[in-house]
Amino acid sequence: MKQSVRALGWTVTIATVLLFLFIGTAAYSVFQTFFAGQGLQLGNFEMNLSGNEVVMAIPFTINNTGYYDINDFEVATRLKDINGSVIVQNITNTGDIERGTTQSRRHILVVNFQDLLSKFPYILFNDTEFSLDFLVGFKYAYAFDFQVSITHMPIRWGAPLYGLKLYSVSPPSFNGTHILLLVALEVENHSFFDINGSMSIGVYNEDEELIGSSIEVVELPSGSRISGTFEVDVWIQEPQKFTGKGFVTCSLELPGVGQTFEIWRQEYG
Amino acid sequence: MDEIEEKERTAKDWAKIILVRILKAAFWGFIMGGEIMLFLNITQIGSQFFPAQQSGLMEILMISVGFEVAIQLLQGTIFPFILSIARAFLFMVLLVHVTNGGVMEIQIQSSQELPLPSGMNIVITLDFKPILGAFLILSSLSIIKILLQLIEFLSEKEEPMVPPESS
Repeated sequence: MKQSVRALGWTVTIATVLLFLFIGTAAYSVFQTFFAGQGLQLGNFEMNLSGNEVVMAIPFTINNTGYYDINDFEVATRLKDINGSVIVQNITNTGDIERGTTQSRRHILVVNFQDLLSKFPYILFNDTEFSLDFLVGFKYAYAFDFQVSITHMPIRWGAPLYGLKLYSVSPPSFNGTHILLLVALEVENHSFFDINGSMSIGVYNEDEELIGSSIEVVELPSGSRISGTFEVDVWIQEPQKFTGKGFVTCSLELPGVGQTFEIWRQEYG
Repeated sequence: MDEIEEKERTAKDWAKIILVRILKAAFWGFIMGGEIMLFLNITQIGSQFFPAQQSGLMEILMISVGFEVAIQLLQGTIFPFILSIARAFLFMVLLVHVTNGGVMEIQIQSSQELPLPSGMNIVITLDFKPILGAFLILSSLSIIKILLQLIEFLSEKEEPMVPPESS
């Protein structure tokens, strides 16, 4: 009896000492790796327009200089609209990072611009704010689970066609072959990308038949502004169809968006 | 005359025993949490980093010291075993309660040093349930050990002092 009690006592004592040693070394190691050292390096937040997708990327590097392995290191982001509805979310899991090793990854969040515009058409012309939830989590030494979450991080959205105003300065005039339009245009590109699109002007008769059209190239670098009056000549392919009455439309096609927006419509005659 | 001398010696012995026990109790009380209480009070580390938890920590340390002093003072009786079991059980409950079941959360609020946009929250979560589980298993083993010691103590007390039978 005495021997078994003694054995149990020693077992508990040795196990407790080992447990405290483990906690102490793990705490020291995690502090040295992530707080005193450069265990986690987050790169600059990148936002690019690629095709018809807005690609947000966060590069990160984990350098495990500690005594134990890092398990299931993951970075998660969730983009939400102003009402808190989830637009898109993604998780990047690096798996296990053994001690003495380094891993570099890019956490990517892809938003389809076309989907975004179909859900929130106002963002083409109005600045707004999205919110981003950001989470970094990992297990240390298979025992400690750390998680840092930053919620409701504001992401400013600048409208690519902020404050767009297009109007005819004088009534359209027809010279037998062309319709001459004098239009005033005001627009600011608040977005992070340059706009290299095309503006199509279509002239219709009173039977709503397209009788002439013209395409103008629109170049609006990020942060720039256009304000002025422009003369547009629209060649009428079939002058006999010109009835003196109808309407003029102006549509904008943005590459990357893959969608045409009618931005102006005016009656004439 | 001899009787008076014997009485004086007994009182002296008692005084010696009590003094030794008090010193032993003070020493073990210091080892079992007194030194941490002293350290926290001198350096004020607890109040700097864990203002809410500090009060809980001090209470736990006071309970630990109180139990240890009582156990040391009552050596040779059944009470140290009962107190040890009660202490181990109380610590298991307190450990689960203070550590919120092994999940601790720290919310970082917007301050002058760290201004955050309105509505933005930073939450740091530490989940150490496996470690808490290991502590609870060790505490349970410790209770079993004390129970065995108690059984042994009681059996020794109950053993009749029978002289060996002469054949």
